[in-house]
Amino acid sequence: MKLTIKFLEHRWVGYIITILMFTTFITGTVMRGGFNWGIDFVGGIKVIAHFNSAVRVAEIRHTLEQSGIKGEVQQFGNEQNNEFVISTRLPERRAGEQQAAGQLQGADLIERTLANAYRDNVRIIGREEVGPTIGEYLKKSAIYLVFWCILLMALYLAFRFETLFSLGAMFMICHDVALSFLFCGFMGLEINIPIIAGVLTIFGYSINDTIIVYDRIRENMAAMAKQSFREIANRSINQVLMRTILTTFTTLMAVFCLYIIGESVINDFAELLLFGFACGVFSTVYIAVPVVYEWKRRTEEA
Amino acid sequence: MSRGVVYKLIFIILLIAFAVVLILPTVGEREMNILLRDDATAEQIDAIAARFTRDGHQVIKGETAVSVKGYGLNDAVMNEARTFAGVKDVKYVQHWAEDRPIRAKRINLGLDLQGGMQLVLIPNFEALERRLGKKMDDSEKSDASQQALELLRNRVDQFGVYEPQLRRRESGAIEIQLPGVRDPEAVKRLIGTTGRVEYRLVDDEYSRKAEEWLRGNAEIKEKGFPEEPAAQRELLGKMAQAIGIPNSLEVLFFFERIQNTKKLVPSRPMALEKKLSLAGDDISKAYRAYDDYSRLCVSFSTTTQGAAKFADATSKKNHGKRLAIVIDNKVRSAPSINVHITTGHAQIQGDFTTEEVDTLISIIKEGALPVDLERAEERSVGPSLGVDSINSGIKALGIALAAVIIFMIVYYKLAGLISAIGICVNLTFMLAILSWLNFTLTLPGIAGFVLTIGMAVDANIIIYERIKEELATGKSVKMAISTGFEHAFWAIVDSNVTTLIAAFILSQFGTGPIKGFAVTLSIGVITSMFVVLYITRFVYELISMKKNLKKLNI
Repeated sequence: MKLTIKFLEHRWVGYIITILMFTTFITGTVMRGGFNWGIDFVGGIKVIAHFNSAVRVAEIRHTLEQSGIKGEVQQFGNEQNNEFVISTRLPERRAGEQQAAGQLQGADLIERTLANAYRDNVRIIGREEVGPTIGEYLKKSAIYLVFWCILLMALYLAFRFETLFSLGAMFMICHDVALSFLFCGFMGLEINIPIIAGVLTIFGYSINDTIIVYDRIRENMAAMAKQSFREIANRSINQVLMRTILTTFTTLMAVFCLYIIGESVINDFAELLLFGFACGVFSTVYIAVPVVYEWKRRTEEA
Repeated sequence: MSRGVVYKLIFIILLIAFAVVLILPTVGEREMNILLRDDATAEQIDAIAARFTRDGHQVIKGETAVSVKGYGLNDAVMNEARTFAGVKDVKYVQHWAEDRPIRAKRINLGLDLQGGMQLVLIPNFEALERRLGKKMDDSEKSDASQQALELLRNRVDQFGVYEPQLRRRESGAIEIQLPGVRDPEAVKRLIGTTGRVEYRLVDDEYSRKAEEWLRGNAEIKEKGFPEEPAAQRELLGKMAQAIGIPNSLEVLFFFERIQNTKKLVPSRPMALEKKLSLAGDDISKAYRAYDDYSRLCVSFSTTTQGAAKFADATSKKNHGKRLAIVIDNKVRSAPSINVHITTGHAQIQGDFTTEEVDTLISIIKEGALPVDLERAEERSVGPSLGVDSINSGIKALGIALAAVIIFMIVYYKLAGLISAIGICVNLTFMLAILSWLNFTLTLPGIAGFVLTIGMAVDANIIIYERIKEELATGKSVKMAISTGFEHAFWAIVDSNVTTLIAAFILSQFGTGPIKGFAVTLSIGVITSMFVVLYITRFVYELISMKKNLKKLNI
């Protein structure tokens, strides 16, 4: 199989796709009313209840509303399981307001309401309560982590490759991370700690393809010193494209298993990885290499 | 075969065998002994047996104990067994691989997999500042949370939980993990209140009598002190009656902390006056100092009010007696009174380690200024949810494994089979390292395993594609294999290092389950690199040794 696609000549295709994705995702996120921050970040309550016989979501919601609880009710796991997640979020904290200890009593109220309404039919199998202090800390540390991640990787790549390549890779990573994050907003995925873990995993993984391509460009540059960067880059992408697709394919296969079988938390996480990893292949070809190329074209004859 | 190759072969086989043995206590059958109370009825025993036969465990009913053998006997199950009527204690029977020469460890399951409760508590610094009448700086806050942690350690044993874990987190928060808790309400009640520190005189005569009585008690001699707080109280009651203690005194246990487990255990009984010599808040401050022999000691000052009480307690008539420091009805220290102190400044001297001194200071400070704890986060997972999570995790793992293996064999034929074996070896290594280093497996951790399956073959694919490329340029099979591995080496290392950087950063991100994911991913990246670049490569070296090797099935 001898593929020879002139990727760099068609790089505008990639640019257009990128711009389209960004606009779609941003519009989608805005239309949904912004990101769906999970209770890990904004604080709130989550109660997982198991019912012995079938119960409808609307019915549970109605029961809760009668006790003045405004919460989201969602199916948890398989439909046959009769398990539901009831979650409420803490209202946005106004400046200077202190957290009242009483705010965490909500889970007890939900439990009591359900127990009164359904008696023996209901059993609470899990609950989470997160105060707002923790959330603020988490938000801050998530930003720190992303920052450190970019910095350390850039340093490593600059050490292993040319600085320019390192910059290209970082640019691509920022692209991937921003896009994955917007993907969550677009799909309405709840942004919780596992999702942050997912974003950082995409970070570490989507750069792998880029390294494979860069590695080949570096090798070819030594061997074909006379040719232009564009030719070398095109040739390198063509040479390693198959393995880039294959490696991502096997990983996607594993992630897909998580997606279809995993529990609800893992499910969202897997959905994000599916998008992020697939996006990684695209951005290697259409972002990471063209960025280096554009730079070289402007600074030297290429 | 050359000698070097033989050695390498033996090394690899030994390594794999060792890894398999290491994971035996985790994946193999386990056994636990449910020790019965003397008054356990036949119905109670049957109920216990029925509970475990129902789950398909092998149950042997004995006179004093019920032995249960089977899969999935984790800490939470043990804690559940403890709650049955007629049960005195539950002991885990060690797997042979856990014994001396190998010391394999069972893998720890996170709370999300075995069920349990996690609490994050934050000291109420504002209330403290109000009481102190000044702002606290960071080191004072850190002190306060340290002393709160001390108080919690003191208490957490009362929940009768098998392996409680307490640790300090960012900005003074304290995280408590209690596997398999049945009654979260009781836990919350106990944790919300603050500790009571008291200073009471020790009565040496009755303390001696109590110790003598214990020495004569055959059961205690044989089995040691009971671990359950209720049983301890029962024993103290029996003891008090036996030695005929006067009404003004009571017996309590002196507690010591075991170094490696951090657990507080009773070490000896002590008779104390019921009357307090000083209350906890009679002390104003406590700090580290050195005595006249430059040994580490605890220095403390009383309040003005406390000074008079302290002067009374240390007066001539009490010299030679001991003053016990009691927190939550546990005696934690009992220094002797040697000097009459009227100034309100005193020292507790002894051969203390730094840690002992700090613990003592924490206790004294806790009495002086109780720290209120507020719940900042609470998560509890029922055991059934945990079991569901494990099952779906294992299912995902199995299907992912099958899918990737089938793909590799279809696409790369024999070479694919070799990498499939590589994945299995890799998973064994991962599990072995995880249990060996005492890491905790969480649900995201299982996701890390699944992800590793997909990523581990990446290196194989990169190498195989390179070999194909080399073959296409007309190189011999032997040459193609060796250049293929050589050229792919740095690309593999580079890409794995970046994944490792991301995983490492992620492991710094506070909470338990995600840490589990990051750790599994990191270990997976390292072991898969080792498997591919060392073991798989070795297999190809063996293949290359075949004479007249013309075609590679790839």
